[in-house]
Amino acid sequence: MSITATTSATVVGGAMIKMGKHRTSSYSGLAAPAALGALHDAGITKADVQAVFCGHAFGGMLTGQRIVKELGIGDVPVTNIDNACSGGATAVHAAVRAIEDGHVDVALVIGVDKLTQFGGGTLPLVKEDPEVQQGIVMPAVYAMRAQRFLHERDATVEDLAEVAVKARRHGAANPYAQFQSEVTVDEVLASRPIADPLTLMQCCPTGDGAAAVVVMSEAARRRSGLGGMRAAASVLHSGQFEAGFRDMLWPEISSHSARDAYEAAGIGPEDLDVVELHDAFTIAELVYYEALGLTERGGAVDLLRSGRTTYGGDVVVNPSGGLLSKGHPVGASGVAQVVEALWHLSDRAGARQVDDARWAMTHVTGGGIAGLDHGACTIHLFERAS
Amino acid sequence: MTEPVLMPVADATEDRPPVVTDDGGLRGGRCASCGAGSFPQAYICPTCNATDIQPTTLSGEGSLYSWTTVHISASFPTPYSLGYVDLADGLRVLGQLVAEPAELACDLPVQVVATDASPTGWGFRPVEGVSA
Repeated sequence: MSITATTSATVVGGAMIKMGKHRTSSYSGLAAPAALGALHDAGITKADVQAVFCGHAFGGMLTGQRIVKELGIGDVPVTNIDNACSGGATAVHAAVRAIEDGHVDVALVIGVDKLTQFGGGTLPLVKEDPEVQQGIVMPAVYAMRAQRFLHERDATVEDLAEVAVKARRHGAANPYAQFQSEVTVDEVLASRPIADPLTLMQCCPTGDGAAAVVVMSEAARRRSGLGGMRAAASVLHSGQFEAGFRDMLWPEISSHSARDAYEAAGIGPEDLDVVELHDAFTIAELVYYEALGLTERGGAVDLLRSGRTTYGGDVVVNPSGGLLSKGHPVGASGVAQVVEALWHLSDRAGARQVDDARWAMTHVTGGGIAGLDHGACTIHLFERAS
Repeated sequence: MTEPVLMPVADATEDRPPVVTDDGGLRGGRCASCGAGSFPQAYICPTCNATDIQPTTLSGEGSLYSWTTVHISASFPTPYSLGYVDLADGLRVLGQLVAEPAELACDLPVQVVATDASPTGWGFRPVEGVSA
C-alpha cells in the first residue's frame, strides 16, 4: 500500500496529442509534442525541469530518455515506469511524491504508448501467467464481469450499451478523441461480438497516444504566479492475490484506493464534479460507479439511467468520452485523464466544459494477472487552485 | 555454517504431469504448513510463505461463477469459451469450457474433463442432467 496525502503538489500545465492510430509516429514522435506542449502550457522551459517520470508499457528500454532528448532535456533523473494501464498515473504519483519529499520542485510527467505496433487485436499479455495460458484476453476478463453483472442485477445488455452511447456522445465534443461520432444502443449491440456479452463498440479501440503534465510544488507555483490544480490525493494500490472466491462486481483495489483518496483529501464522492474513470469496457464504468462510491452497492444501473453522470447531472463521468472514445494507449491514458481534469478545473475544456468544476477524480486500474482483480490502481483527486 | 545457495524454481518447464488426474480431479498443491490449496501448485505458499507445498488432487467439480465466449484472441482459434469455476474445496480456477454457449450460465454445476476438444487439453463441462 502506498498512500500520499498531499497539500503541496500541483499540476500547472498539461497537453496531449489527438488519440488515434498514428502508425507513422515513433514513441518520441507521439510524446515529444505533448511534453513540449506541457512546458509551454505551464509557462516554463526545459531548464526548469528537475526530474522526468515516463509511464509506458510497450515502449522498450529508456523510452523516457528517447523522448526528452528530442527537447534537449538531459542530466536530470529520468525514471521509466510500467504499471500496465496505470503506468501513466503511477508516473504522476511518483512525481507528486518527489515533490512531497522536497527534493524536486518541478517535474515533467509523460505517458505514452503505441498499440498499433501490434497490428490490432487484443492487448498482448504476459504468457508466463497461468490464466493467459488458458486463453484469457482483457475483453474476456471484463466480459465475465458483465456476465455476472447481468446475472446478479436487474440489468440488461441495453444498460451496458448505454454506457458506450454516453461515452461516444461526450467524445463527439472532444477534438482529442479517436472517435468523435455518436452511436445508438442498436448500433452498439449490433457491432460484432468480441467476448460475450461485449460487442466491439463496448471495447476501447486500439490506439496510440501521449500526454504530459508539469507537476510543481505549491511554493514554486505561487512564485510563478500560475493557476492549475492542487493534487489533494495521490493513491497507488496493487492487487491482492486471492486463490478462491472473488466478487467480480466489487474490485477491492479500486474501492480501497478511492477510500484512501477521499480520506487524504478530506472530501467525499458527493463533492466530485468531474470523474475520469477507467472505462476500458462498458461494464467497467458500472462496476466503478459503485467501487468509487458514486452510488451505493447495487445502484450502478439506476445511477446511469438517472442521467446524473452526464452533462446536467451532478457528477459528469468521462467528459472526455473516456477510453471508449479516445482509445486506450495504455501508458498514456492515466496522464491524459489528468490533462482532461486540468482543462475542466481551469475552464479550458471548450465545448465539453463542466461548468463550475471544482473537484475532479482520475482513476485507472489494469493489468491481467491470475488471482488479482487488477495489478495496479491509481487514483488522484484534484482541486481547482485558488 | 554456510547458507545454501539459492536456486530458481523451474516453474516454466514444459515437462509437467497432466492437469486432470486419473480419478477426475485437478492436479494442484496443498501447503503442508497451513493447508492452503493452490492451482496450479504453488511453490511458495501465498498465505504463510512456507515452501513445503505437496502435490494433491483437488476436487474436479465446482460451480461456474462466470463465463464468456471469446471471438478475438491471438492465443487459440476462435470462438472458444472460458469460465471461472469455484471448486468444491474453495479454489477458483479459470479454464476452457467444453460446451455450446447456449448451455452455459452462471452458477451452473461443472466438472473437469481431459479432452482434445479444448485447445489446452482440458476444461470444464456441464454436469450432465443438471442446470443452473
